[in-house]
Amino acid sequence: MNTIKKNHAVRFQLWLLLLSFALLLQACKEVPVGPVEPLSAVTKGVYVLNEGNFGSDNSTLTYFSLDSNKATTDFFNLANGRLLGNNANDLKIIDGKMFILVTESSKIEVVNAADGKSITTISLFNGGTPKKPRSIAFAAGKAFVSCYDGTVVVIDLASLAVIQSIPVGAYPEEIAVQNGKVYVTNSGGLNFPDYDSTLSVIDPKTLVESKRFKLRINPTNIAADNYGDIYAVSTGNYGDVPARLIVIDAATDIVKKTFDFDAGSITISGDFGYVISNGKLIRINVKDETIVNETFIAADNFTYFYGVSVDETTGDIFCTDAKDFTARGTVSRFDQNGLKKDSFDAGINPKRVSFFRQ
Amino acid sequence: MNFRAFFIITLLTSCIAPSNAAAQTNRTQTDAVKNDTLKTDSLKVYRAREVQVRGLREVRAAEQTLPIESLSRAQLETLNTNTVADAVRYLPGVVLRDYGGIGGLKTISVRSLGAAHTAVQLDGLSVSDRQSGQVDLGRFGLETVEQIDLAHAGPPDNLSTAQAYSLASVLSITSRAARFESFTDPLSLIAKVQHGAFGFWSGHLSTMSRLSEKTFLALAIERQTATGEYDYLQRDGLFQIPQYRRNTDVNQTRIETDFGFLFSPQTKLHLKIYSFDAERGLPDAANIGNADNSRDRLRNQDAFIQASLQTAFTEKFTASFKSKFAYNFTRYTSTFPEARYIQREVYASASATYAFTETLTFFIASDIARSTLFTTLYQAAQPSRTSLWNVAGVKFISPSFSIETNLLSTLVGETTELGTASPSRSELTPTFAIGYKPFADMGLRLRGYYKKSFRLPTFNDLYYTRVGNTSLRPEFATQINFGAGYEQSVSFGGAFVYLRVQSDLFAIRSTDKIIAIPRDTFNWTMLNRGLTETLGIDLHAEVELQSESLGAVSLWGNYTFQSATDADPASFTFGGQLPYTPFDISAFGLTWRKNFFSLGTSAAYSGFRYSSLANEIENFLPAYWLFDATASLNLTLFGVQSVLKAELINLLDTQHEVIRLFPMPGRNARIALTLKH
Repeated sequence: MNTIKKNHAVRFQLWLLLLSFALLLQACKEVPVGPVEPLSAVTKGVYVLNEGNFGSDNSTLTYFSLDSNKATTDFFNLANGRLLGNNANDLKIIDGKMFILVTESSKIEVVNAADGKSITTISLFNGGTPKKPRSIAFAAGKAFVSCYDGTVVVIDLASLAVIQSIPVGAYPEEIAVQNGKVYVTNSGGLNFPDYDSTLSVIDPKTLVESKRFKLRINPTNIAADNYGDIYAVSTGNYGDVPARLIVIDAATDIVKKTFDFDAGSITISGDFGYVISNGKLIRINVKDETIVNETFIAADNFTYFYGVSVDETTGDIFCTDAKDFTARGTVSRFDQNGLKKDSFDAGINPKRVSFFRQ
Repeated sequence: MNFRAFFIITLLTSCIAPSNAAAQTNRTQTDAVKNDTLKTDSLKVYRAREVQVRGLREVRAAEQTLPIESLSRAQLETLNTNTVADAVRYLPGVVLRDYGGIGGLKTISVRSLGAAHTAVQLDGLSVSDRQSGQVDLGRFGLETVEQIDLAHAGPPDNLSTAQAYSLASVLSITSRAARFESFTDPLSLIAKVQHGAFGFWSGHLSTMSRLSEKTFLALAIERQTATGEYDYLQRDGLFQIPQYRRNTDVNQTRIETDFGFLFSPQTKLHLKIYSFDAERGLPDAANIGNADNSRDRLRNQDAFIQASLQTAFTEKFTASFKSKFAYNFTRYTSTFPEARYIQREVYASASATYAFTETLTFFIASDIARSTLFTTLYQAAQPSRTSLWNVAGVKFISPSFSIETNLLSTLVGETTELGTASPSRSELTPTFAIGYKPFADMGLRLRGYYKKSFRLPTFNDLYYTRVGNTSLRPEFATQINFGAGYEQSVSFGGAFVYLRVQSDLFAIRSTDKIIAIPRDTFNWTMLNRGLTETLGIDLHAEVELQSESLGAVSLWGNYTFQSATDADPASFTFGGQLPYTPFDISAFGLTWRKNFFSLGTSAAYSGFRYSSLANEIENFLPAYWLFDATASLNLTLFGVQSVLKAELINLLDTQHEVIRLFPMPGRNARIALTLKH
């Protein structure tokens, strides 16, 4: 009990400190917020978010140090003496702060990316109803968080306070920023069999949903390229409607192209898009929207290929393997030619990877 | 009946034990005493019944060829027990999977096998759930229960249904009314009021009456309500966060009607009508950061009617005919569209035994059942299953040596209204058991058995929309057991001591385990996968001491060690201990009865466990001890027997979870007043 109170007190003081600091900064000048870390920095380590098992509080964080080639799980628990919670789904780093979204625990843990120490915990509830954050993206000094209660929550990056909750479609899944617009995939995922099929567009300045347009059934994964396009995966209905990768021109929000392969998820880095498809990795060119390698990384490298991330400073590709969804998984590192370099152990169901640079 | 008479009867049975050991060394003869009211003269029968009803034990567990553990009415009364679920925790080798609180699901796992491997019977007929394969033992009250038996490898009763042989173990609940022939009073009334923590109120009213020489009628009605809410401490790494469990209210009514008819001294009919209606909140996983978020509700309406006719054509030839119609309605309300499930089952069984000689008995049983499930799920298959069980077996039982063997045939066919049905199955599964008593004058007995059994995929496993897999095979379990039992009663200077020690070593190999495999966050599918091996030992010891000055003191203890691991070398979790299967489980009890007063205390230990086959720190659940105490006063005033019982549960306020994220209540108490006339 005492420790809890102390913990709360410390947290509150920390929060006050941060707030005053933020206000001070606000007073001096506009907070500079870049979309990604400057690429001149060197990648020091890799954070892997392990989803854990649904219905179990075994989501964990693995830190893989590129200096020592050593993986540590659970880095969050070691740094903070507590657990991440149930069903962690996204992590992203901005300005040295790492945002970890824990869906079933309905909270965002904001930690210092250098040591994993907690900065604050943002609990997301609407009255007594958990909002269940799924995915995060940054724009205009704010974090945009898609939540399973059909909203996008806006967090001010300086104060780390929730400033808005914007209604979107049912079970919004992922979020991406293109042309100064925030795109959200409305999956309708848990409304089986009545999936949603729309994308919501949010203006990050006015914080309103400016548009909602129909795409294709069950849109989930989404990414932006450097050529003004949005890539979205329509997951289909897991039955007779297959999953597809769709390219949208963000200037007009009109579909430019549909790739006719089964798409799981896409990650874009530079001119390349990396698509998980039936257990293997397809590489596409996002500049001219063509397939470069039908099999960039073969399916036999994995038991269950779960997630892919690219370290933009080195071009290394990190692929997570969820194994049998029961045992702890692994993360394999491939070079930019798709050749395997090494692998390390992570926690249960590793999916998202984020790079810590200094 | 006063305590003195009870005392005498218990002493009497203790005296009989050593001298009569040879006569009682086998199950058949105990069964004969238990079931057959009729072959022997009335005086003997009366005495036998007195022994059953009031005695400390009826089945002499150490002497059985197949291991069996029992809890009698007398034992139940000294333990903290409100439902059958509470009671089975005191049996060796049992882990109760408890989702916490009064309304939380409570299922049994015997020797590391899942709930679907244990048949649950009420008065000789199975209480089945073809949809989930598991029976919520928290729904069965104890007020009308006379005895609970957990039998390994097969039912103890020769006139059992064939289905009772089909699973790895049988949990039999016997109600007081099932033994109606021993009831002699023209009318008896029981009224009970119970109040406890979590806003728990329970009222029970029952009557038993011998309407005529041949007819018997019993009625029991019980209503329970509770808010069910409780404080607990949520563990979050090094921290403990005070939390409050909500949406836990329960409102349930159970009505039982029993009708008994003695056609002749050889022929007995028992008719039972049972209804259970419950409405309750369904708390969800108490997540870190999001502990209290469920508004889900569950409604259950279960009803069944069953008839059991038992007859002896000759001294050697006995038969039993049983039938049942069961209806189970479930409605689950949540933030998602309401889901309703209706199960119906029609059941018929015939069994017969023929005793060739005093030592050799042949038995046979045939059952047929038709089960259907209706659900409101999207693209529901609406399956129907016709099952046919046939068993034939022989028991040879001499004072020093016994052999029991049987062969069960199971035939299952299914149809669906939508989609393909699971293919028909036909399986033959044998059981073989031997017992040996090396010394005629010593209560030592050695025994061993081999049994092969399987649990069928449930309707959920096969047909649940998007998850079910109709090509699932049954999940097999092959058991080998070696045991030794010793029991002895001695008397000196007016005091009597009874001692029983028994131990069973068991090995279980389970193949084609049916498990849910996630394909991603939204998609799971059922698959047969892997192989598990269990090696374990059950130990049970009890001592009872009875004397005029001291009263009756009883001390007992159970200990089970089981290593139940993933034995598939290709598995990523090879060598991992099965989920929710502690290596060590233990329970101890001490009770003392004198005159109108009794005290009981018990301790239960669960070793550490993992919530998953991945034996990693993030799946670790720590060990815990639980202590309970009961005290009761039993006074007869103006011809009304009054029992006041107080129960203190979880004395040390141990914060624990049986199922991950489903916190259990801390220290709490209950008090009950029972009036009998």
